[in-house]
Amino acid sequence: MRCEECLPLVEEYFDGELDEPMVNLVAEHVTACARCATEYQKLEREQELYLSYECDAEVAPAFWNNVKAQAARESIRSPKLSQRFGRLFAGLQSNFSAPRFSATLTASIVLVAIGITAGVMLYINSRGKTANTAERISQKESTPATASQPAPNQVAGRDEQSKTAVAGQREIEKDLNKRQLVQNRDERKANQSLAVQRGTVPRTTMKTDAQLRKQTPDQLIREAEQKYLAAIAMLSRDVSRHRSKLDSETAMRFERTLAEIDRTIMDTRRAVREHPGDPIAAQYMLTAYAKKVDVLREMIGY
Amino acid sequence: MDVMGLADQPGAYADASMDAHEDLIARARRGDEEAFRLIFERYTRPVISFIFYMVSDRTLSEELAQETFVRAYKSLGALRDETKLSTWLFGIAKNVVRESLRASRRRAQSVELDNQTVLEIRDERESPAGKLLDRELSRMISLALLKLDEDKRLIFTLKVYQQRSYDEISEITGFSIPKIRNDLHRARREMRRQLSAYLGDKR
Ligand SMILES: [Zn+2]
Repeated sequence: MRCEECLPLVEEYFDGELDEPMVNLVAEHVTACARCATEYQKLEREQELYLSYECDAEVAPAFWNNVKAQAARESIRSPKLSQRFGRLFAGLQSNFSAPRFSATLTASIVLVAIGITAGVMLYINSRGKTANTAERISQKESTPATASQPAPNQVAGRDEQSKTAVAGQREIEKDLNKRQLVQNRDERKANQSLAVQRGTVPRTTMKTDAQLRKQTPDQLIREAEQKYLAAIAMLSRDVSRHRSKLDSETAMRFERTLAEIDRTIMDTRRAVREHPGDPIAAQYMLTAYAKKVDVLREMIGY
Repeated sequence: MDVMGLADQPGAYADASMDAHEDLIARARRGDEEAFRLIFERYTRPVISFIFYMVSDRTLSEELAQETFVRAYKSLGALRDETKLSTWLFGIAKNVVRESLRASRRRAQSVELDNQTVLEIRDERESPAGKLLDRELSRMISLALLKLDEDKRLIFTLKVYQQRSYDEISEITGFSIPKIRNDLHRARREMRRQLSAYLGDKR
C-alpha cells in the first residue's frame, strides 16, 4: 500500500470503521511508514485533547423522580375539571408503583370510580331529569353481569340516595386527597367507617369493607369499569343534545380529545385483558375512563 | 469461581436475564415507571453527557435529559426493535436538543449573544489554581464545539464523546454513512484549526 492510498483511510482506520482486509493493509503500512504513522498519532493526540474537556453535568439525585413526576403530569393533563381528579390519580399512581396487586388499592380505585359515577348521577338529576330516567338509562346501559345492580324494590328513592351518596363521596374524596389515598388496611377501614358513620353510603352504590374484601381484584376492576361505562353512556346522550350549541372549532377540539381518549381506552383495555391482575394496566384503563367522563362533563358545561 | 452455579450450563444465565429484560420492557410498555427506570437508568449519564457536549450548558443539559426520558417513557410503544433501545433513546435526545437549539436561536436573533461571555458567566465556580489551565482549555474546546454547525457537532459528539460507530450514528441521526464520514472529517479539521495553539503543531 502506498501513502496516497493510506492517508485517506487513516481516519476511518482510527475510528475502527474499516473492513477486514483493509484494516490489515493500513495497519501494516502505518507501522512501517513514518509519515502515515504521524497522521495516526495526530488523531490520537487530538482525541486526547478533546476528551480533556469533561462533562460536568451530573445526574441529580432527584432526576428520576422528576422524570416520573413530569411524565405523570403530562399523561393526566386536561383542562379545568381534571385538577381534583389529577391529584387523586397522582396519589394512585404513587401507590401503584408497588409491583403487587393489593385489594386495598383496588378498593380505593373503585371508591373513586363510584364517586365519579355518583357525581354524574347528581349532575343528571340536577339537569331536571327524573331519577327514573337516569335509572332506566343506567340499567339499560350496564350489562347484567354488574354485581351491584339494585334490586327492583330499591329503585324508588334512588334519587335521594344518589344525592346523599354524592355528599358522602365528596367527603371521602376529600379525605382520600388529604391522605394521598388509603395506604394500608387501617386507613382503609377508617375511611370506610367514616362513610358508614355518616350513614351516607347506600348499599346499592357503595360496598362495605367486607363486601369489597370478598371480591377479587379483577371483579372490582370489572365493576368499576361498568360504572364508568354507565356514566359515559348517560353523559354521551346529554352531549349529543348539547353538541349543536358548541361552535365548530370547540366541537372539533373536543372530538379530537375524545378520539384520543377512546384510543387510549382501547389500548388500556387490551392491556388489562392480556395482563389480568396487573395494577398498572388497571390503573391506566380506569384513568382513561375517568378522563373521558371529565371531558364529556366539560362538553356539557361548556 | 462458579458463583452462579451455572458454569456447566452456558447460556442459562444469559437466557434468564434476557427473559427478565423482555419482561421489564413489556412492563415498561404498559406504563410501569419502575420497569422503565430499571431499563433506562444506565443511559442517564451517557444521555446527559451527549446533550452537554451539544449545548455546552450544564443546567440545560440536565433539563433536556429529563425531557428526553419523559418523551421516551411516553413513546415507548413506538419502539419497534428492542435491540435498538440505545440508538432510539439517543435519537429522541437528538430531537430534544435540536428543538432547544432552534428555540434558543430564535431567542438570540434579536440579542446577539457572544458565546465567550456566556461561557465566562457560567464558569465562575471556584477551582484550584492548578486547574486554571484545564479550565481555559475546556472553555476553548467548548467554544470550538459551539462553532461547528449543528450536523457536524452532532456527528463529532457522537463519535468522539460517545464512541458511537458510523452505523449507530446513522441510526440516531438518519444521516447517510458518506455524509457522516465527510462531516466528521470536516469537523475534525475545524476543531484542529480552532485548537491549533493547544496541539503544538502547524496545520
Ligand atoms: Zn505512508
